[in-house]
Amino acid sequence: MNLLTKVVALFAFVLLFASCGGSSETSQNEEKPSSRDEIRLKQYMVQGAKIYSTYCANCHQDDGKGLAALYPPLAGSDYLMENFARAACIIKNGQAKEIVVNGVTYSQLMPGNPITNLEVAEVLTYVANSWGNEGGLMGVKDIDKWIDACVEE
Amino acid sequence: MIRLEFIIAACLAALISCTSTPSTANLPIYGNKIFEENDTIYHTIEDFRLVDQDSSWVTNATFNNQVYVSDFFFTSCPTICPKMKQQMLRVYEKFENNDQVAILSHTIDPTHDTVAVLKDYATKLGIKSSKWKFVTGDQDYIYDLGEKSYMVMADEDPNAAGGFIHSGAFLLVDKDRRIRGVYDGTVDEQVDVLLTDIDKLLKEYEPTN
Repeated sequence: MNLLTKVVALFAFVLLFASCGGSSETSQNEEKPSSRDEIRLKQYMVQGAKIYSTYCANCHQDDGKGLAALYPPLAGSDYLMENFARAACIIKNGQAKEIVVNGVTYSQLMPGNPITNLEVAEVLTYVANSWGNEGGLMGVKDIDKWIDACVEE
Repeated sequence: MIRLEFIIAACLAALISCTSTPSTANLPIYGNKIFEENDTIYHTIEDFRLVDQDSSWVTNATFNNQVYVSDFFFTSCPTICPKMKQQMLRVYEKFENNDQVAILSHTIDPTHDTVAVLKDYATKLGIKSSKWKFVTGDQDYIYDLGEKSYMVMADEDPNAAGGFIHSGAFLLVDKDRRIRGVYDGTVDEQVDVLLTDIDKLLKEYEPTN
């Protein structure tokens, strides 16, 4: 009897984890993160916000809107949201070439940032999920892969 | 209980006395003063001559009968400059149609920031009028002007991000070339004060009665 209870409890536990470890689509409850990814997303958002204010906000501004035609917006930015691998490379290595964001051409040089791949993951998660952007979690494994594949500009 | 009421009353009184202080007091005049027999000689901006984004000379005479806000920056600056420019835009927008107010931004990297680069920068920032002048000139001359006239620091430093160290200060200069206010151009609240101080300064020039 006692053993059976233990087995049932263990089974329930495993079931719980299995169901939680899956996709992050199952967010019936906003208050309690229902999956590990969601918890990680929140952690990344907190860390990412700090990194953002240190390395990015001067130019892209606290509200992510950029500055006139000098510094491109991140909020609602097609250039950011259409290619996160490219975004990770730019965060890490900077960018010197001209780009078009939401129809506007920007040519101001962006310096690279002295941050780790984990920090790139955190700050990219932050900008991809702030100010109305909904890009989801940028895991550090993806970032490692993307950074390794960055093309030298 | 009585004590508590007393404290509250005292706090209220202090609050009221603070908020109702008449704001007619003139702004301070910064810098060393020399006192002569019947006169006080104030620190003023020395004569200068620089060239702006439209290739026009800019001198003290350019700001004849104008108050202006001055700062030091460079276009490739990755640190505080964009923040400063965002804040300076607030000054530009508030006083866009007021001929008595001008803005003077000095580059501290004239080797890179040529007239053409400054023009491009100003255009991209959305500056249409000549109210906001972006000026360049000889590097040592600009540093000297910054240090001696505007009392702000600007220097080359290969270890600093972007290669320069400089102050993020905004200086408010009156029609007699005197510095009347110093503000941190990277802080919203400080620029709020600058905006009201410009109003106050302009009031000083309104004819009394």
